[in-house]
Amino acid sequence: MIAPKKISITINGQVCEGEQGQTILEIARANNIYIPTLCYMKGLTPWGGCRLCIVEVEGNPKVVPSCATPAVDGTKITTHNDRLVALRKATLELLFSERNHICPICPYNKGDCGLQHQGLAHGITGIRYPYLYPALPVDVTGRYFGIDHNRCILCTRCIRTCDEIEGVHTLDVSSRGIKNQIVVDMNTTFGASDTCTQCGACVVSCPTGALFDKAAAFRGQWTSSVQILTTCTECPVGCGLKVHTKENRIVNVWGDPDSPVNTGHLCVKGRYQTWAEPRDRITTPLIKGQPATWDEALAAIKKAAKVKKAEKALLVAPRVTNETAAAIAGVAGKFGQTAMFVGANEAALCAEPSFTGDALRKLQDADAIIVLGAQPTRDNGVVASRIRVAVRKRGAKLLIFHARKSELDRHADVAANVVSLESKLWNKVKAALAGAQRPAIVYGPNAMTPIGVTVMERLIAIFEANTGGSEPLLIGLPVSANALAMSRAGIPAVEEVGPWLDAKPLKFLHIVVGDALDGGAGLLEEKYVPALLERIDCLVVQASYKSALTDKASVVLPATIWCEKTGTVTNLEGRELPLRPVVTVAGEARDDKAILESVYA
Amino acid sequence: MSEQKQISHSARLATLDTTHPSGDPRFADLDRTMESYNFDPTSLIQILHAAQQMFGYLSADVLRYISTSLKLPISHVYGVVTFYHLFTMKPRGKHQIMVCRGTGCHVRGATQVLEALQKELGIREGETTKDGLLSLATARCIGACALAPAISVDDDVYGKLSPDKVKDLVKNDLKKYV
Repeated sequence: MIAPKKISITINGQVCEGEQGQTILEIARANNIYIPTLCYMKGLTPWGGCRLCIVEVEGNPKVVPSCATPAVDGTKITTHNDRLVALRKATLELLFSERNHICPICPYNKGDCGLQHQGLAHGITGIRYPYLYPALPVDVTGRYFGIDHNRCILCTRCIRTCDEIEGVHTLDVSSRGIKNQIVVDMNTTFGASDTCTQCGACVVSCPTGALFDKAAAFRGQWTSSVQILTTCTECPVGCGLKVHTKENRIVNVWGDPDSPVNTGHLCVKGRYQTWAEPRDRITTPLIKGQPATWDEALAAIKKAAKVKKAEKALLVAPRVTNETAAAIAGVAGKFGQTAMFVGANEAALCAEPSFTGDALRKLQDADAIIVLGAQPTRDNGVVASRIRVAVRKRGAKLLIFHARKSELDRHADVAANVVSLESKLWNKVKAALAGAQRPAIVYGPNAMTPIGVTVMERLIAIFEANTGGSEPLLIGLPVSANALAMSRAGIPAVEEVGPWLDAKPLKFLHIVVGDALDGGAGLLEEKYVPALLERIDCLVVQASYKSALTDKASVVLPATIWCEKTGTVTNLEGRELPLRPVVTVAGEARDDKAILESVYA
Repeated sequence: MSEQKQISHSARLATLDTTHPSGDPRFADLDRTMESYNFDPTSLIQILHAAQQMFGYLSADVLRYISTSLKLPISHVYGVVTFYHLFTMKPRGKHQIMVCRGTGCHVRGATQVLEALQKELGIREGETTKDGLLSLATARCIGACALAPAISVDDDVYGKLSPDKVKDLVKNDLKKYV
């Protein structure tokens, strides 16, 4: 690759170095020269709509938007003079007069609003134009966020984010001129939209309070909050989180822009579901449903655990930290059987854990993507967004083999049920894959079924015959958050908990649910499990949230949740990612590892 | 000769086959139009024009069908349709009444003519009568300035109008369209 040509421009008399192809704004930012912006956002295609970033280029009588103007070697640029400031002020006044920007009732008041900030910075105290006071709707039908058109400045940052980062393009702008408005699909609401993934990236991109988080509104400004980096533990992707807190409460959860995994993007699970949903937290140990002290609870467990080793079992959710996994492997000798419960067909995927280094970045560069037996839209939102962007923006081919329809199907060249092996379909597959230079196969639990393996073998045969292309990039995509690393730590995986419980007569069962969002209630939906649990003398459940399972337990031990934990998790790329405590521990909850050690060590 | 006829007949039947669940043959025509543009998303405007010709207006169903076929986001298609004045998402009447609001007609009382028409037909500008026969719209200039104030009904021009004459027009002349 040829290195881009170096150029040098003069901004406000200061000589600035840059590369050919960079815009004036990019070079100015790199040299710490401030140019006000509203519609510009790093990582998105420049739009040049807000006209705040206008600059003068010597020899050009017109002003140019610096965000959308490539710098030309040797030019002299002025960012601030009387003319430019007057133009910016007029632009801001027009923006303020166009809609109903009433700061005191906006959650983004005092610091978070780009429009308010620019208004203050430009010393705007009154408007020379008449206010239009349009009657505009507010849409709060979305589960986690809403849009107030009164505060919208039509910068289209949300539209570009939805299109270029999440890749769904749910948002667009309708009508023209003064009637312009952001629309969801065909002028529907967020609640009724069938394309919106609720990833919330648009909310982060909004420079005003037009798009706002419902759970975060009026909890405090993110600009003045404490920001702590941690890792999402909801799926094996392991996205970096930037959690905003104030007075020991979570104000907002954003993606960590410096994370090599997700580069700032998150899915609905990581951004909202972990904290913006109402859940009953367990804050003290419970014995037969009644609050107890830790000493009482530990004594009760130790007494009940005085049974034969073969009659004791330890069952773990596949989402605990690596440290807890090591502790579990350490105490496993005291139990007749130890296992982690995983989803259907997931055990085979975890049996030989394979990590793919830098998988997410490579996936974005792939020119043919095959999704086999996985449901990234449901399970790994950020992987799904990377696939969509590769397909829609870079023209990659997409082939989907799965048992269930998903939202990704509408972007696919070939979407087939896993069981169809007709030659007609395979001719189509061959045609789609012809000439693929950088293919990637994303395979999930259902790729481990006999038919899934057959499909995989056929695909690999196609790639081998296709001599021009390179080896396909293989990305194993389990559903469970830390199952790969736990399997590596020596904890066997079980798919069917019923037969596992029934294998030996059990008197004592300890279930580590951890901070699973359903509090372990999912276990009760497994075949035979509710009846088998009734037969156990002492059921210890270690969980963070109340559920039908904790109601059945003899002893419940309160565990810490994701934002209170320390430790590491390993993502599907094999990266060791740190968890950092964001808020103090609620009540008397304790870390999973500490609990296990205090009971069994 | 007869053989050739048979082929064209079966070809015609084949083209009537559409992926739209309604089986409406107009969707088969739309399929063929999109195919002629090679399902190219950048040909959206031409395809929308053709669809409006076929269906009379662009229903949500038609837009969704086009968006799926061209692999374009539905919000993008909606944005284009609402941007251009010529596309309509509402069913239009069988006959189009166009009131000229050009300069000549304006000074000779086009506003009064429009008001009278709205009153007589019981609809406002941009609307269609309940029986679905007449739609009322305005235009900048229909090129009949000598007849100002003028209106056109489909291809016929009625000139030198006044609110009283409009009453008469609606009672008598418009009957032939109804």
